[in-house]
Amino acid sequence: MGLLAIIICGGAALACALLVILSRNTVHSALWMVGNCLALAVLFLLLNSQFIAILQVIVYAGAIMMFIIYAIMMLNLREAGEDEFRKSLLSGRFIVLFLFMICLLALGLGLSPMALKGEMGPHSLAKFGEVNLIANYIFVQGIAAFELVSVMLTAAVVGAVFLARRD
Amino acid sequence: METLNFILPPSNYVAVMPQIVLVATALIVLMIGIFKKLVNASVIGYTALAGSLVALTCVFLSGQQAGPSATFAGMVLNDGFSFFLTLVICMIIVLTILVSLNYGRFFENIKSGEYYALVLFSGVGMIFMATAGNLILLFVALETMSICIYALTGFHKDQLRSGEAALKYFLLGAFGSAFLLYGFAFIYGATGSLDIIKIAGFIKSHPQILHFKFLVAGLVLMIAGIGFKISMVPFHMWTPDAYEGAPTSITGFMATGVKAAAFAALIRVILVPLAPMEHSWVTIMWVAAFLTMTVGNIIALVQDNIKRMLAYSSIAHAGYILLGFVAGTGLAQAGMLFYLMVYAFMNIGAFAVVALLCKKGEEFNSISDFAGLGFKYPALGLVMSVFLFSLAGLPPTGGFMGKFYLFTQALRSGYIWLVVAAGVNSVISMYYYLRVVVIMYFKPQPAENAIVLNSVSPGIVIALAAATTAVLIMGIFPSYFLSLAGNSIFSLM
Amino acid sequence: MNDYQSVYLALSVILFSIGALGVILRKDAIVVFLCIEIMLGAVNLAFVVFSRANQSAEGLFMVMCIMAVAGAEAAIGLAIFVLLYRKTGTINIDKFNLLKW
Repeated sequence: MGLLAIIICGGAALACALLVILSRNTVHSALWMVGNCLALAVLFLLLNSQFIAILQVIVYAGAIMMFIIYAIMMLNLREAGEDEFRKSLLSGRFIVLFLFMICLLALGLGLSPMALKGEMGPHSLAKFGEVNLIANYIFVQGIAAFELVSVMLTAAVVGAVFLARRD
Repeated sequence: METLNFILPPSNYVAVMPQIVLVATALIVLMIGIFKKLVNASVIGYTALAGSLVALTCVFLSGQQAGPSATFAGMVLNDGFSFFLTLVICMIIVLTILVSLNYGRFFENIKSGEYYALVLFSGVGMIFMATAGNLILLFVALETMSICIYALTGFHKDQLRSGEAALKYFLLGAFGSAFLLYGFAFIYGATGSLDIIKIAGFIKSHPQILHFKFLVAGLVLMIAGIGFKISMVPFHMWTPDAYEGAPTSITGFMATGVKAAAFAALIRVILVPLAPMEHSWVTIMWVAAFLTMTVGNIIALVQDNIKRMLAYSSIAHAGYILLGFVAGTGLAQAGMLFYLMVYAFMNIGAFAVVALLCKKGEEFNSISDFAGLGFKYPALGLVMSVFLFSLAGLPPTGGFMGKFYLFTQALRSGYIWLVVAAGVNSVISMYYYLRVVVIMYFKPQPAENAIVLNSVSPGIVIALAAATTAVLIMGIFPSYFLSLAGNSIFSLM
Repeated sequence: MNDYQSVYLALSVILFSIGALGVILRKDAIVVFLCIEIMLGAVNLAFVVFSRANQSAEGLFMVMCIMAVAGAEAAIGLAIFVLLYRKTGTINIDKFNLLKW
């Protein structure tokens, strides 16, 4: 049952990812990307991390992807018009990368991770990924990184507004 | 529902004081930028300069406290290495702002509050990269730096090549950080922690893990990811384009600040935690060092644009610095830090001279534009010659001492062929550096379209004088700086 | 306890490779950016798997930071795309030949 769910959701994620790179229409690519995000969210749920799954749906699929689709619509980029696309699919780079992919794949399949004992103490799997454990990490151990994220987001807003402003 | 009680870890705010000052200054500068119409435009730049000087003072005051320590639950490390790199990065920020004050007289966008705020924000990212004790903080800091630099690269909004450079840098930079993250993920999977000290402890107590393929995969992906930032061959493709298209003041900042921070991150994550895997990464670094310096120097030979030439030269210099990883002794690593410091001064100085040669809304970037400048502006010619001699590695400059030190250490560790290659490369590089000097002094200035420097702001004079002095002092009396670099490497946590 | 972790990891590796393939093959800047987001998704999956194996929230916090960074990168990236589109009417990477690629 568990394996079946993984295979269905994982297959959906892979199919969506492939369709992102194979669609000729940019809007279709972005919509398949939303599908990929949602499939990943279900995988996160299967991995007992409910909070991350919710963030994946709200932040990734909800905010970032809608932002990108909005930009595509605004720039009116529906016509991709890539004649060289199919040619390059067969070129040497494709083969090199494909070999690379196979190597990584073998690495991923051949080894299962060591089951390490966490230092947070014995939580049950159901408790792992609950929001209060994450909150505890963010606001105690991770406080410095959390503050720096706020600096990064400020900088990103300042830069984006400056670049996109018409003057 | 139980209530949550967050007990903050004991935190040493003095250790992060320079970063706090820089963030505060950036916010103030943004606020002043809103009221641009009411105040003199130069107020923005001078506020940023004042803030960065305060940050530099904070480094001196807070620096070298008793013993290395970790604060913010191990996220921030406060050791001699942090002190050294924070010092170098703060000096780079001050010099960049001094250069920008002059450069901004030719370009309207460089005067804006956003420009200075982004420079300061990226400086915060760089400092956190050098002081991070946790891969989470290291990654966020790297992205803070990169996102600011992507935006700054596109700051000449009226020039197509600036936007194009920003596009290329952005796409390849984001691609590189994905590799870096995947490397972090594998290291996390192998060692069960993202804390650098805990990773080091885990690897030391579980030697069998060294044959675990996750760790090797993590190492390779991580080197590739950071390799994008230090423009290591074969991940250097973005460098010449981004350097050429960016505003010249930012090119200097990218060539020195980004590189110093990225090398600091590489030293932090590789030298101490992954020291037991030395046999794996020394081979990678050997090949990378050889390719990086050779490719950089050979392509630099045929460049006609000075910014592009300096871009390839900066690739080549990354190759020389990588020698320190190959040699592997503590002294070689100290030499690496020393070279990083010299490199920062000589490169930002060279870009400062290039940033001087502008007229309203236009840059003079061709090497032939330098013709006759040596006699027309003797001080400028002299200063540029010092920087170029130092880049070429000629005595009595810091560049010579840095190279001498790195090469002898590598030789002592037995990497004869690599040192021979590095020597040949240095000789090749002399051609294109000295070509600029020859053009400056032995070619007459063209009659039309000649460069005229009307008035120069006092800031850039101070910047050039400081950089020249630093390059010469490090060349003639290197021992103090070498011992500073040595102390910082040996206190590395 | 060790349930299907290698399946998840293999999935993550394949997703990452598809993303990298797309970055190299596609010429449309927005699709290249989407492919980078696929790679980040694969990284997130790997972090969640490892975080669960370690029973620690560290990896989950990393995932949150990656999401924040993805958002910031989207903001900057789209601003650059808009800037270039206004100038040239295209964001096809091959169309930019002013600087040698």
